[in-house]
Amino acid sequence: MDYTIVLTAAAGQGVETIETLLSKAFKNSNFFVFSDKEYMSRVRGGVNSTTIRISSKENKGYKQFANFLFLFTKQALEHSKDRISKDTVIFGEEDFVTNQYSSQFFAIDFLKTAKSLGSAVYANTVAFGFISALFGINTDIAHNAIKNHFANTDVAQKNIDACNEGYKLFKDSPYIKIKPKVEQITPKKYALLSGSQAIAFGALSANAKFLSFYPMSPSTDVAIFLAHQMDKFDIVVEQFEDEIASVNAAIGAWFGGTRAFVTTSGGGYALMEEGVSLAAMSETPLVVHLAQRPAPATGLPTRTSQSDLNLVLYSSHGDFPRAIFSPRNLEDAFFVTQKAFDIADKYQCVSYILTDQFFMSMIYNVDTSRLEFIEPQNYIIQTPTDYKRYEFTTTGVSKRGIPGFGSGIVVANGNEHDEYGDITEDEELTKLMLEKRMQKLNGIKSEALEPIYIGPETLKNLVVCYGSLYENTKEALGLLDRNDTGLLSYSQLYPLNDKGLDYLTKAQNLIFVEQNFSGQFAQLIWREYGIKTNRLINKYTGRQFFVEELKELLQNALEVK
Amino acid sequence: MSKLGEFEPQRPDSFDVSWCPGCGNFPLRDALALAFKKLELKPTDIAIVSGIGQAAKIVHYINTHGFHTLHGRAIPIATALKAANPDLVVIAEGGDGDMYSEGGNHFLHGIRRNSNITVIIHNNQIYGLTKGQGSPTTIIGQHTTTQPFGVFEEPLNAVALAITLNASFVARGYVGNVGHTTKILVQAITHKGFSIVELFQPCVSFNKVNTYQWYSEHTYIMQNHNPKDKNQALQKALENDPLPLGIFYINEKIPFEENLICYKQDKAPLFKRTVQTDKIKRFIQDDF
Repeated sequence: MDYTIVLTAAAGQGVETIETLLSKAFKNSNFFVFSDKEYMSRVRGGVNSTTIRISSKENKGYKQFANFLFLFTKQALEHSKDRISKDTVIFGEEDFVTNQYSSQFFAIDFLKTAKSLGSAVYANTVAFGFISALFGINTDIAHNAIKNHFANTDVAQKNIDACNEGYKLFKDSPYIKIKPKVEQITPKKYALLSGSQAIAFGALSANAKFLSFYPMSPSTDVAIFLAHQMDKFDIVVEQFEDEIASVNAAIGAWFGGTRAFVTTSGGGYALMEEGVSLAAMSETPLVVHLAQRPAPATGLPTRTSQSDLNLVLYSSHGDFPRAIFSPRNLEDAFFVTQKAFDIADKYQCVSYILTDQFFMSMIYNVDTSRLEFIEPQNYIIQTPTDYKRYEFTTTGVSKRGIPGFGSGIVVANGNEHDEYGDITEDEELTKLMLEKRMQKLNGIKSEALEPIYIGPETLKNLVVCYGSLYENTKEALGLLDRNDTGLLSYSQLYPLNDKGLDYLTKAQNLIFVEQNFSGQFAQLIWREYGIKTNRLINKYTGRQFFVEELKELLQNALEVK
Repeated sequence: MSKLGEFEPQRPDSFDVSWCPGCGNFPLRDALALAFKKLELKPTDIAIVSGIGQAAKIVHYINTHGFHTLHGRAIPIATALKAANPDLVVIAEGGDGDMYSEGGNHFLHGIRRNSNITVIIHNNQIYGLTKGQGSPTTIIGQHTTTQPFGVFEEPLNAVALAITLNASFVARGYVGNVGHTTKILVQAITHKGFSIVELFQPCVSFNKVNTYQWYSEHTYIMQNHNPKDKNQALQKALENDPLPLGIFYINEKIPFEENLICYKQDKAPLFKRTVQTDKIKRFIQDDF
């Protein structure tokens, strides 16, 4: 079983509610649910779409063609035309489609039913009931999803009534002949998590106790989620006056011995750069979560992109070590976030977690047994008297003391400094201190995460991607079923783990898949290894590659002799 | 130097003080060390977070924990440090350019956030480290290296501004009077909340207008002033010549850290708290 439902509506029509209710109901009915959305940067109107894929196995790819397309406004058809195949069943009000689609169209008026219940606001819950009926969801499960969603019992009851009307609408109609083949997944301890929640839980599990931020799409959901957990977990979530204050606050918290991070997007990070350089010079750990969106300037606030790799790679003035991570999927995000904290703390450096809008909005059942917890290590020492914050060591890492723990005095400095942290302009010390800081890069590299390779032992073609493109690329390649092609997927972009080099050098034909114009990761591979890519498959429309789209592009690229 | 006692640092690079002879930062440092002594604080109890400028170099010339950071950014760093460890006495320091120009936004929002820290502004009405440019508090008409035909921008009245923002503690002193400055600093550090202390501090090299003599002639210590009276405080703050000194305004309110849920029950500083893995696991399994 593998069905894709696309819901297309105007902002403010409540499609998010259907997404939440359906995901929960499908999950509780033992289906595997994957959903994501693309939406406009507006509060009302426009056209947005949500994609929900339900399967009897763990399908985490973003599918283009809908089995069921629900249109909630007249503009929806035009918006979602590229989601329609000859097999797509389309639902919507009588005049929502053109004649071209009449053979695959079923007229349905959720709004009329909602109005008969007293208010147009119930239209989305009627739709929820209808879709639940289509997939044979047990009404108790559907009702429970509603009860969990609406805190007010009166409101919940009215929505249950609306949901029941949706069930009736399905059963008393010609739609009843549409029968999806329903097949459940083996039940496991699944948790329905989003990209932003995976990052947030990773941070909590890394013992992060301070999050400073300034709101910026698409990164804010991490802060919203954690702000709501302040009464359950020991964490301070504070909205600062700007990104400059946010990053400096995170540095202040780390200086005080507390693991901290910021969540932002490209433009916000641009403002943080100076602070990052302070973290680097003062050797204060720092973790930056950056959810990418198309840029420059305001770009497309609610769209997706992978164009900020160069920003984090080259950002801030001066030479200093850093680590850049980009999670493949939710399980990986949970792990990688913890890893980013560990590296930042251990090497007193800046760690980045690079995600994107597509990743932030992604929701699916996570097998909780596959959530990997890294026990947070303590890297803070109780200072002795005559403590030297920047003592020279062979690894470049000095023991990190904090104010108020031990008998030593801790002096940190954004100016070049001596071992005690006092300002120096001594030529020899300047050289040694810079070398000390850069020395840490060797340690960071020695722990770099290995890329994942999927494919035959001997290969002709190698497809390379990073971050959230993993699942889609993997599925697209799987559909091509070629025995001469492998996939190399990175979740740590800098410094690179050289194990990937084996595959990069073996391949005759190197293809990079990226969501940016210039192939920033391909450029990084070239910079690090001198290996040039043969082909760049890239998309920079602010929309994520679909599985089918990638399959076609890869097929063309692979046939090129 | 002898006035500093245990607050005199013994580190090799802390002896070579880069303040000019006669700099107002010297008596300011004396007053600060005296205030620490009066409060019976140990060097390890205190963390000074400073920005950039001659004033900000103080962390190297006084024996406490220190973080010499970036221009304008001392306040957010000090705020988070205090939130991470409320047991520390946290002081943010910088000059007039540091706190009012580059860090102006943090100054405003620091007042709103009301972290229990003391903010000391070394106000010499000029840029010293970069040698003589006009600052946000330079007087109209003063000729500087970068305003050679005279400053025409309105100087910032930070004391009045802070009072209108309902700041928790607002004071001004003049380092020519170490005793009075010490008294203000003792109260500011003791006060629970965001305590702003603006200290007039002559720059002997680059400000030939606002000299020791000028400050002596153009300032006076307020008598019989009620700092709990906001209108009176504002009225005093708006006086231009002579400039009043003393504690203008005290507004008792809950500091930032005490508003944080994590400190409502448990007073242990955040850095001492361990990861809540079991709770996280349960939460994910039961609620998602």
